[in-house]
Amino acid sequence: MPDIQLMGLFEEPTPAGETIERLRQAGVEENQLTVLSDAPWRPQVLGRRSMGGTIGMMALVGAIFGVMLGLALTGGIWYLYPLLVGGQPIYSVPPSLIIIFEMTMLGTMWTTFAAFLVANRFPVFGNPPFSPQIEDGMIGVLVRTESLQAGAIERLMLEGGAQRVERFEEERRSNDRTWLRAAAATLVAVVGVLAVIELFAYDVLKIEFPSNMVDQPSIAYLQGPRLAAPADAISIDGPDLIAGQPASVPHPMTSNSIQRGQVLFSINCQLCHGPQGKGDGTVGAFFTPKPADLTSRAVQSLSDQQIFLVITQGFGDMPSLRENLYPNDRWDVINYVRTLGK
Amino acid sequence: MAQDSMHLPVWKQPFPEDSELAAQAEELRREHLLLDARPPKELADRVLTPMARLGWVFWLVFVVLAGALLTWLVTWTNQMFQGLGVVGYNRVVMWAPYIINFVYFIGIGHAGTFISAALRVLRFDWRAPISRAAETLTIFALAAAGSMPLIHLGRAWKAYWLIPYPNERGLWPDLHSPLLWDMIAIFTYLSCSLLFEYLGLLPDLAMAREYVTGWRKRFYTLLSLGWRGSGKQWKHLDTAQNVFSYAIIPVMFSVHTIVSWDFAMTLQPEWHSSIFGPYFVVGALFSGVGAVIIVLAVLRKALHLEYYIRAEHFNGMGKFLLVLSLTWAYFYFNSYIVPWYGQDPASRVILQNEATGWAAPLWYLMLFSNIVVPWATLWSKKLRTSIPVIVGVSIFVQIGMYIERYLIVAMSLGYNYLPFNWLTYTPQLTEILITIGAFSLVTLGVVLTSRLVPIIPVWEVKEGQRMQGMRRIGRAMVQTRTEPE
Amino acid sequence: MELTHTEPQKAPRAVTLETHKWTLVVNLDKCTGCQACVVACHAENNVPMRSEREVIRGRGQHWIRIERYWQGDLPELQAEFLPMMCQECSNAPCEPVCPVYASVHSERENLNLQVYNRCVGTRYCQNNCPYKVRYFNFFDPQFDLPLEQQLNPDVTVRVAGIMEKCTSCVQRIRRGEEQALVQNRSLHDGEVIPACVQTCPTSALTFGDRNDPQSKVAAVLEDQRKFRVLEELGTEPNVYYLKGG
Repeated sequence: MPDIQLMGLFEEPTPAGETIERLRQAGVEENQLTVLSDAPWRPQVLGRRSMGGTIGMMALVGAIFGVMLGLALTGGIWYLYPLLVGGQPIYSVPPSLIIIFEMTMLGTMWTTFAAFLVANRFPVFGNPPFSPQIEDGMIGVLVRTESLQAGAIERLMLEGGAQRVERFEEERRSNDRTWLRAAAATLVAVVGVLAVIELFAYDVLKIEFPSNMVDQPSIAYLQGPRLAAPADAISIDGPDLIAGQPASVPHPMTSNSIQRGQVLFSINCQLCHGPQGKGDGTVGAFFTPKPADLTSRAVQSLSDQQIFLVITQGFGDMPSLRENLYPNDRWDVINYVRTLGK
Repeated sequence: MAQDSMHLPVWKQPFPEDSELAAQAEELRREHLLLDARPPKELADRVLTPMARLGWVFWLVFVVLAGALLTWLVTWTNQMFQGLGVVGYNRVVMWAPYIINFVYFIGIGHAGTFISAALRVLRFDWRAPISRAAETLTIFALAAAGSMPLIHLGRAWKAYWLIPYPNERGLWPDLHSPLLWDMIAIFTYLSCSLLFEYLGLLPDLAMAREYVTGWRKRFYTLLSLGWRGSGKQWKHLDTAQNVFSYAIIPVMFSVHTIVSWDFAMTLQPEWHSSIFGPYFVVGALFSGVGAVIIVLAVLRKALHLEYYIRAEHFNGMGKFLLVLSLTWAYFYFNSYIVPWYGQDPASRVILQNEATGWAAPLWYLMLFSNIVVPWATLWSKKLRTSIPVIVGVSIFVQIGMYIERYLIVAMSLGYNYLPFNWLTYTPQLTEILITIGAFSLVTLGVVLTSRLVPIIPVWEVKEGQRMQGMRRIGRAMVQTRTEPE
Repeated sequence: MELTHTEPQKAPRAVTLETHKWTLVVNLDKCTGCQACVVACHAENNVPMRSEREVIRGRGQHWIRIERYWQGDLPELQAEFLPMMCQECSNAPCEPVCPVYASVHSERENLNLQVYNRCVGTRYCQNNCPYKVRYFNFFDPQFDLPLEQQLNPDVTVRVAGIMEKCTSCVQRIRRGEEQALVQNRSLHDGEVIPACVQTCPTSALTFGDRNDPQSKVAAVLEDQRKFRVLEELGTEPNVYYLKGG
């Protein structure tokens, strides 16, 4: 059971390569051997065979994945959301070629990088053998072997020209299990973040923040109380409205009000409705039907507001007296008309 | 004796005994970095020691750039609150400052890939010490460029709608739009440039890890992912770098082509030109190489990298700059003569404006900066290797290329088919501050990165020095070149 | 006044709306350049009035504008008016360039639709429009009180950052279609007209369904004077102009 690692530090590749050959002749297998250096040496320089790698293959896999992603993106979007734009066909070939090309390249390079990390088990957990002198330019020939053979191998290295030989216990290796767990955790985290984003996208999680055009000024005024019109404004349509109040407030029936109403009645209403409001005015005689009898139960049973509307809007042949009477005056007239009914 | 020297590491190789040959060897060593081998500890020291020395110049630069960056953020926030009316747009010229910056910075970003990927594929070994600085410039230039479309959006807070993600309302972005191609291409380019730079950075982080102490050691230990330099790791790195180099070059071409298609796909006169694709790519490389020259000169001075970055590098880059200037002139002439010959009225007005109108000073300055200045200076090796001269030429090139983008985007847009809609764009304070901020972002990014990670790929220099050598042929010492695998 | 008690709704029958080929015809002979259509459009579509300073900076926002070109020299100087509004192109160049599908085509009505709440403000559409009839809200709209009471509740009031353009008063078209649907009939010619057509004092504007052979628009389009602006670009606009004398 290999339980010790020996690292011989060489100053130059020639003694290192010769030592490797001698180690091989002594029975050390290729997979027990690792060469550490601060700059790449061609394997042949050290007497080793070039090794293959999976990264090239993974690049191809990534490219194919990228092509499929590009096709899915273009085809998918245009299938799910077919909107006509600019006389172009819904599935347009030239733009999709551009997207597919970019996706292919993206897939190739990202997969290559991921494969690079996986192949080297980056980041390395654990504490594999290393020496700062390697960054000083030394070439480290690392052999994993059993303790029994350690002495022989150390001698071989020193004879081959090693400046030093360091010993490392077998526990000094990279911890692949931790790496696997870290990689899985990263993957789960990434998927989790994407899932959370999608939860927001599907309104499962919601952040209420003001959306620009939901509150429209073009209907805001319709929903709220209207502005008060100026005091002498004459509305041309609809009843007079004052903010926060019913259609103009009836005046209390004071003697002042009734007196004022009487004067106004004699000016504005008497001609048609007659001096006692019985509908027998001089002008009113010419109308068919005759002006209403204001003393009748039909008129007196109307509410003040209804009479107000009649004065404001007119009724049948009766014209609107909006231009003749201010709203205040109309209430006074109504108060007087009430007394007529008594 | 001879046998002993074969077993010595390359930095201990002795000088030839003949004094004439020794002088020639000395000359070669002075000129070429890869023939001037030093012990690895010294190589590391030359990079790592200046990184930690923060003098008053560094702090001054940092404060100024950070201030500009802060101004950038504040101005952008103000613009988002007030609306894009604070910018100098009008109802016809709706693309101006931010798109100009966008195209310019993406253009600059091409140089990194060119040097680290294209020159690697073509086996130009002298690129060894400069590739990482160029890639760093690329990444921050792309970052600045990527922020520009966001700043340019009317409702930037809804920018995530351009990302195709499944959502409740079943809405998707429009893949017919060149802006979407832009987004995907730039995302690919930026992410893959970042990964590519990181790959090359790993061995140097491991080297730095062994030579520093304190928080830096923890930082490098974390980032170096446990790199040991085993044969397997080097082999995987080589394969990965090969894949990236070969793959990122077509991406580089495609990115600026797609950016040019933002313009070429429109009906706007002077934009609707099928030559825009290659024209923009060449323009990008041109301005990018110029920017890298400036960055290298500054880093060389600031970090005392005179050992690593030598006249030979500026010589090589200067040659590229000249070739690119010639190529750019060729494409520009193409894009000029075709509408000029066709006499389309709207195009004619634009060209007349450039020749004799209000845009004439800018146009002539552009031609002077992009053609006259490089052609007058870069043919001479003496001028190419003189750092002040070549940096000056590069600055002219930057000015010229920025004006070129301005004329294409902002000026041309003001002239279209209906003369009632001819309007001029005038820059306002907002976009000037934001442009300055973008330049600061790039500069600050490169400065900080050069202080945080080794900006010279020391392992590539080591590899080159161990492979390259000189030997005697006849009466001279000549440089021999070994092909890397 | 009585209150009607609504019956519980039964499942609605399948709704099929008709196809129309909405066309606007501008008679340049009759156009006097009075700009009444501009005002009407502002009123109908909640188009904000921009300040004088903004207009001087070239940001006047009028969905329909009267382009005035001078012909000849003094003393025979003549003004030519070209009312320019969204041409509702069949091959609209503004549509494929929008990255978020805010500018899409309605096949049924042959109109170019602008979706306000989808627009992110890239402003690519205006770059590609050769007629430059699209407008961007550079600032939030300001309606001085009490003018906000004049706003049309059928039309969204757009905030800053959104592109807008003439919609052929699509809100009127929709309302007309709804009423026709409820009354189980098709639209009559002249039932839906945009605000500009309604207001033009010289009746220089005609609007209708080109598909309907009986419509006024179809009759007007028989004129030999008809042309379309920038036809050679291939945008296939649905606004026809009758050449002035």
